[in-house]
Amino acid sequence: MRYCARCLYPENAKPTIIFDDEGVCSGCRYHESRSRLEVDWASRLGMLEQILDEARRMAKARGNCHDCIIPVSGGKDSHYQVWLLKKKYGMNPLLVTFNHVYNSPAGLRNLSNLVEKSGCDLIRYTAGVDSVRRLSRFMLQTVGDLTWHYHGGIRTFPFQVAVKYNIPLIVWGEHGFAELTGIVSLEDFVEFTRWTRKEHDMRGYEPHDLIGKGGITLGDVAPYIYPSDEEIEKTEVRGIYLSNFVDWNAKEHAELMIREWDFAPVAYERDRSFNLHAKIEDHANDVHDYLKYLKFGYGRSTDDASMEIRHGRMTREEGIAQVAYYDHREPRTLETYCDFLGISKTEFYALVDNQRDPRIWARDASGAWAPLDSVCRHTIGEVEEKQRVKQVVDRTMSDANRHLYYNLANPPQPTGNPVLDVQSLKFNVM
Amino acid sequence: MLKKRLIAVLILRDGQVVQSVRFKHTNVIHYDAVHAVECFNKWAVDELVMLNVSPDAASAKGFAEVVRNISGQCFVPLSAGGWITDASYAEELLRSGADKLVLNTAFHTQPELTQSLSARYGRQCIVASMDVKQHESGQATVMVNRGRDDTAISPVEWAKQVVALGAGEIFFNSIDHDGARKGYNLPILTEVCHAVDVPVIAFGGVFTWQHLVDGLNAGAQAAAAANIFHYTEHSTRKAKRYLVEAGIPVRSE
Repeated sequence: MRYCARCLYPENAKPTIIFDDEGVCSGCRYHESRSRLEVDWASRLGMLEQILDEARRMAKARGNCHDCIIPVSGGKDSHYQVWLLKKKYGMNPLLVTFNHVYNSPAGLRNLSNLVEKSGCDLIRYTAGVDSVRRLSRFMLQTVGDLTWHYHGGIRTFPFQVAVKYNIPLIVWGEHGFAELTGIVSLEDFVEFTRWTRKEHDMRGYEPHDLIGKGGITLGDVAPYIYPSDEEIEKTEVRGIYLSNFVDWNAKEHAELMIREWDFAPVAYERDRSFNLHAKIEDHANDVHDYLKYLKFGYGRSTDDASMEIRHGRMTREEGIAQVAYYDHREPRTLETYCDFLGISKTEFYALVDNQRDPRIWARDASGAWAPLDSVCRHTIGEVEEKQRVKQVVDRTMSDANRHLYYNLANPPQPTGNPVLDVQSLKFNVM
Repeated sequence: MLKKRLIAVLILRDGQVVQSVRFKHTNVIHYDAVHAVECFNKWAVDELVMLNVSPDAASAKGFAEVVRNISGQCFVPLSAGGWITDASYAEELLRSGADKLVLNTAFHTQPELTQSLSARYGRQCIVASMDVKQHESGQATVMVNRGRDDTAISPVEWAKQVVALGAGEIFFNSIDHDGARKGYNLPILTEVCHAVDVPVIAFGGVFTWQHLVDGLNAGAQAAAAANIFHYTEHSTRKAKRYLVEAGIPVRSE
């Protein structure tokens, strides 16, 4: 397996990655492009203001009090998006949440906190648990994903609401796939497209493709049906990404939201990553991420360490140590999801068998699966030395960052709130 | 009056749709081109062009496979090119569903191949792709072999040559403008359009819908773009509307 000379991504990283002549991945190049001198953030903010003005004008003309929609989960990015639009730009956003169903208690605490602190209206859609179970089970078997429903729902429901309430603008936060693996560039001012939703979020499946499979009915997929082209055009709704206009820095935003609006990271050791402030609302994330490891040989620690490396807060060596510690660990919540889906752990592993990428997995002499490679096995040579990122004073594992990243040698102080201090092994539907 | 065409281009490297910036591939836009084509079908595009820009000739087989997958979903004329070095591969692409063949290097290194393909399938089936490079001296020449080899031939001279060798259409690109978001290379495009009587497709550098208009006003019969169509909803439909408003005759939706 080939690995990026700068961060820790393998060549089979998802959604898609490409290496350049220097062995650096498209995700690192995207990250690097954000700090280039020619990126004029002031003029980009001006562009954002124009888009927001236009949305306000359209809302007024329509006699609509909400001028935009912000899809929120309650996480750090949701807090920042709402804070920025409401406090800084005086917008009146309608918050829209597609209920993951697999909610962590910490996530529910933060969603409720966001609604309270922002004072915004919220619409929350909860798909029936039985339909979630059917979809989860089928997509786990088919593509190794038990979170298809909420990835589809998060990208679809805001547009259903936009069409229903005649709201012309949806404001997403960062372009997540660009941040991870650089599938798009900063120069293209990418907007939300239906095909990214289908291709990446919904793994190539439209809701109608699923009807009749695994007992799935039209009723089960209704929350994931995207409005028609005609409806979209009539509402003139577009979805923009704030990270095209704002110099996006997830860590700084998290800290700002902790200070301003009491967003809360968790203080317990997580099973699959050292990061304590991202994706904490998503209870299934550990199993979801473990599936990524079982399929492609890398997990969230690779994602999180790569991000820290790109920011110069971690060295390659420090990142690799995190990957070696976390990426292969079976999460404690695996049992929870097996129970929910009505399968045993043995059945779970058997389901993944034919989904393992043969470029990274093979059975060993005893018949057990063993990874053929790992970034941890690669020595740091001349190519990697050349791509080292200049280190900054703000170290990931420093005392000042103790509340944001789990340091085995210096764990965070308990907060006194049990939902933040102790990992729940069960999810909350509501 | 013959209507002008709007063409979406898919740049494929090892089967994935990539963004090309001055002929370097910076990011993977789609792992499966079918998803893009499903949208282009509905969004009023007139034609599709698929180019295999993989650095390796071994990619040819897989590319034909992608052409086959796309052609099953594609309801508009489809041109395909890249690594066409012999008649049997040309035939394979056509059998996979391509309506036209796009050739570049062959016009320089195997003129007899382009002539025989043109004789066999008709001139309308042969599209000559030309990659122009502006050198520091100010002189522009045509490059072949994915922008690597300099033919030292001027764009106008090259355009006349490819028409003589059987091209029914010219797919004009500029290496300096490719992915550079500054519009088509209008001075050279204009010269090429005036030099030949076959249709010229303008490509390379589109960042605004006005760039499409500029290319058509320069004399191109069709305006093509790749990256920009992948990044916003209903992109090609919006582009078409802009063309209509600019007074360009295009096929209505």
